[in-house]
Amino acid sequence: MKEYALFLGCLIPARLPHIEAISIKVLDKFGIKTKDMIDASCCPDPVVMKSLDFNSWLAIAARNLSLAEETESDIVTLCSGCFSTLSKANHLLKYNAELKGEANKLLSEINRGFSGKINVKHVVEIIRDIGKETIERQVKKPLKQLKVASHPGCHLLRPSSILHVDDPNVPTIQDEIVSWVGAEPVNYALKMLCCGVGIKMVDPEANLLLLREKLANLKETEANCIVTPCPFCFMQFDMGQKEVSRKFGESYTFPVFYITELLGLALGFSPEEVGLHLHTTPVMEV
Amino acid sequence: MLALRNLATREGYAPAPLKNVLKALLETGHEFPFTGYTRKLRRELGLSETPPLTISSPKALEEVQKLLKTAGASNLLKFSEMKK
Repeated sequence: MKEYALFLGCLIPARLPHIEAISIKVLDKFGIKTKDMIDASCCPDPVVMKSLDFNSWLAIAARNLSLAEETESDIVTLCSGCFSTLSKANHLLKYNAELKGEANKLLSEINRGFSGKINVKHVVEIIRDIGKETIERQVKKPLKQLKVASHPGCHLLRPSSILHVDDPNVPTIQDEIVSWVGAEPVNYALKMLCCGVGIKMVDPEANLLLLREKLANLKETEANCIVTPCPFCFMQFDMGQKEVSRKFGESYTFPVFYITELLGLALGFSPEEVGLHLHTTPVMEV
Repeated sequence: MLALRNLATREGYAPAPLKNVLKALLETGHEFPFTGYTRKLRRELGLSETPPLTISSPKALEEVQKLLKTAGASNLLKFSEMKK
């Protein structure tokens, strides 16, 4: 039985704990255990912290990686931002001797060190590796009523030369999972467009314009819900729809699912166990 | 591009919301605070009220703060605030 060090990050445990709870339950159903990453901090943020100070970004990421190394476990994370930071930092430190030396010099002052012996995975990769047959066999409630627009987000896929998760231009991983739980994947023109959340801090207007662009495109399709593997994108769609509707005098009410929520429903967990009552945009009618 | 952004920060031009992220990291080890509502929600979901992260470990926070100080980020924040 495979056991992973679960890297929670900041947003999920503090704002979206229902995603943490259902993800652990879903993985457990497939015999995949997770253990706490004791003393882990923010990953840190792949955009903000790196923009402010690359060396500090790398040092904090190296500390988090060293915590998992101590437990001799690969990391699984539920957040695409954390995945981006930890994967890129792991890659840089494994293959750039100079950066590794500098990071280890910093880490030695807190009696830690990076050796490069673990890997970092996003939960979507774990689900993909569980595979079609195993997942289909465990599905108790096929989600036949769902026509799902998949939003991959930015940080799961790029740079593909380091992350190796999926085709960065034509990703299929989430659509496959959607079909394994009995739902229908819906393609759309702006699938690869950013949801906008990454620029919310510095340009709230542009953030809403991007989200509106995406939602307007989805309205032209048969999609009746959205699925994403990123908690930031999840929050942007789930909460931002109301803001976009109000600002532009339009109406967007797509139910939004984090990827393990779809799995959870299909595996037979109740809507309450999945945490659907905690969503801002109502889900129950789908 | 990254080097230019880092340089802009050192010169005191980082946007305030970004500096707030660094401030939160320095003070708690995390970007988002745990509120009373968060703890209640976590308990209702069968999770520990506060997970065993830096936020609940003074020793871990000390490590994070030391790294940020040695790597330079905490000084950037001070410099940036002074310039503003």
